[in-house]
Amino acid sequence: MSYKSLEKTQLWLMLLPGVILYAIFNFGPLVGLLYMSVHEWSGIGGMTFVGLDNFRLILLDDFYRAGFLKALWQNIYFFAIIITSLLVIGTFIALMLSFKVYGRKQYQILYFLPYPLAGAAVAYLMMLIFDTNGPVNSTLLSWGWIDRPVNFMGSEDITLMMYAFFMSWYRMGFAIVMILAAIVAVRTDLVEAAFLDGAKRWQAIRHIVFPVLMPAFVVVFIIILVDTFNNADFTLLISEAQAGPNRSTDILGSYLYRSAFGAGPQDLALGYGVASVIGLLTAIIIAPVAALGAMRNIKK
Amino acid sequence: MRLLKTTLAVATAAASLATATTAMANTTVEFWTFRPQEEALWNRVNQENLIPGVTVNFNRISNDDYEARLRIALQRGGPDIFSGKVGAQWLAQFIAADAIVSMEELGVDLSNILPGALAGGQAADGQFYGVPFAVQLQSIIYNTDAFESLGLAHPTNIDEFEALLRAADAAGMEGLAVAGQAGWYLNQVFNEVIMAGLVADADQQAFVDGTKCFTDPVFVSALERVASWGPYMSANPTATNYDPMRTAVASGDALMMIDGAWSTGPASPMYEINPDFYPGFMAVPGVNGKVVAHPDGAYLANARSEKLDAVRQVLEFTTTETFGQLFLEEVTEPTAVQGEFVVENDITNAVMAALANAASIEPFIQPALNADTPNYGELIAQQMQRLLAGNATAAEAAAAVQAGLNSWGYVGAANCR
Repeated sequence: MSYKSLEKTQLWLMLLPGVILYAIFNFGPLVGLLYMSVHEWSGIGGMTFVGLDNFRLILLDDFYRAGFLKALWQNIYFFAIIITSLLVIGTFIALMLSFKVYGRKQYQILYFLPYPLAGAAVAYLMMLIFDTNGPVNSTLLSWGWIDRPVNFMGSEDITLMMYAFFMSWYRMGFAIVMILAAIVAVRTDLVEAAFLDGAKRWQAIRHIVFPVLMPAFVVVFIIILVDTFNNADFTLLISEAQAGPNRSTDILGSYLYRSAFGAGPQDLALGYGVASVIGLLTAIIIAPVAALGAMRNIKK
Repeated sequence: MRLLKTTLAVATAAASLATATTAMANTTVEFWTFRPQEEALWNRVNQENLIPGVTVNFNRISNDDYEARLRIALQRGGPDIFSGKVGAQWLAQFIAADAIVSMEELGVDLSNILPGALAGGQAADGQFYGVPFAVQLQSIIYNTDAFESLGLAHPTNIDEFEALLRAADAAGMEGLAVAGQAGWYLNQVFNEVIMAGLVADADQQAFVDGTKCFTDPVFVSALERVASWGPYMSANPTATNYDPMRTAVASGDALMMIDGAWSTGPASPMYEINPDFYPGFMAVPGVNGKVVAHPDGAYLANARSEKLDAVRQVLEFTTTETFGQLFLEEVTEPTAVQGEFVVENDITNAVMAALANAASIEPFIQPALNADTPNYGELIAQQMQRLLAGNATAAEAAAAVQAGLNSWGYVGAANCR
């Protein structure tokens, strides 16, 4: 065997474990999702081939299309709050933690602490704190700032926002760690040189610091994008599958769950076929954004 | 040699017989339910060997993920018998997958079941796929100690009822605890009890027939009445879930709630909160002034069970008076079986007395309103939440219910556009 062939074989052998794992855990389920999306299946008994009927139901039926678009729009709103909080507040905290100040390590641990918690624990904590009779409402009432308890957990206007804020707090540790790691890579000699050359503070941040931080921002953006468009922990745990009140906390993850498993005797499942369609549409919506971000990082 | 052969043959026959008898005696059927209150009942059935040769293995599955787990389990065989929820739509998914067997096919006679309860296991085609087990009272449930502390008489009309709400508020209690966060509660329990009290049976029947529209003043004014009780309800009803509602009533923080009598059985968590809690029952005292008799599902047989003979035995047993009596004693809920029963539990007696005044129709389970989506139950849950949160007027909520039903051409669509 020539050296070139040997090199090629070695490369293939090294790639093989990753390819096999990817095929089993990513590609296989994706093909399964495609297969299931053209079938009607309630999860029991056999599957019936229905062609594009499931896609037609979600995209062309007035009732289901309205439900899907509402969940999609609310998901974008939910994601926008979280990613803005993580990038703005996360960068600020990471910058603060990058300075050599007393107690820096303790603060790092403190900020990272919520991240390993289970979603259910965080949801329970939120319910305790913002319950109608919880400490926040009690305090506001005792200070005379409100006449009636604020409906944090059951309002069409603010409950999804509350979930987004708590999700931001929950994921903040992850964003801080990523951004902090990037800050460490900023070359201080370049910043100092820029100042000596007459650069203003904002110019130094914009042209030297941000380009170094950008890959970390992209990673945070992609991971949070995929997370918030595929999961609906808080909605399912607090508002339950009905995503009330009046579907105001419905996002794509809860819409998919409700389609697959239903939300009670009169809010029945639409079947795994329809749920697969929602999963595929979600992937189609977020995949290009995630791929573009990833490509940008690879180019760097 | 012959003696040896004979002895061996006799021994083999005896062993076979013994094995067969043991096998008969040890047929265990797996039973899944979302109703924890039935555990004592089935334990007693087993202990007293009331179904000869059959042991029922009781498995309680959380109501939250009952359907999801059931579906997954049925792929691998699943339980031999399982509790089904009420409604032809719920049954339809299992019938379509050939997962359950009809009672006619299984050979179970339902003639001993109360006619009003049969809907608990009836499919849209009129066939019966299960043995109904209970008829649940849904009504106002109040804390009798809290009620007595107010020193008021039982309300006999809506004005006296509203005076009661005001008196509770003045005494520092919530008048009416409402679990407005739970959609299933709003459509199955809350709305049905309100309508049974405030809307005449004939009008409710007309809504189901489509001869009267949900935008009719009768329906709208019932919703308006609910909205007007807002100041006496839980502070944020749409943020209040089912268990906190029951906790409020059990602890005396709230005077009353609208709920099913299943919450007053001995296994209810309300007694863990307040062991001295004693419930009272009444209808919403409006023009109709009736309660709801809700058939609470049925026992279903898994069509793929390998123990269908034993399953038949168990289901046949659940149609007997013996089972009805046990059900009353252990579950303390009104049984779906007909017969003469001795009821020693005062609460169960009160429940059964209240059931005598049940409305003749329950729109929530009517196929005419629930045959397609968005169905009546779904629409009521959403619109009631909007109403309770103050995001819609009664007229707007009623119009949204009507528009939703019209969208799939329900029976009254042509009449109500």
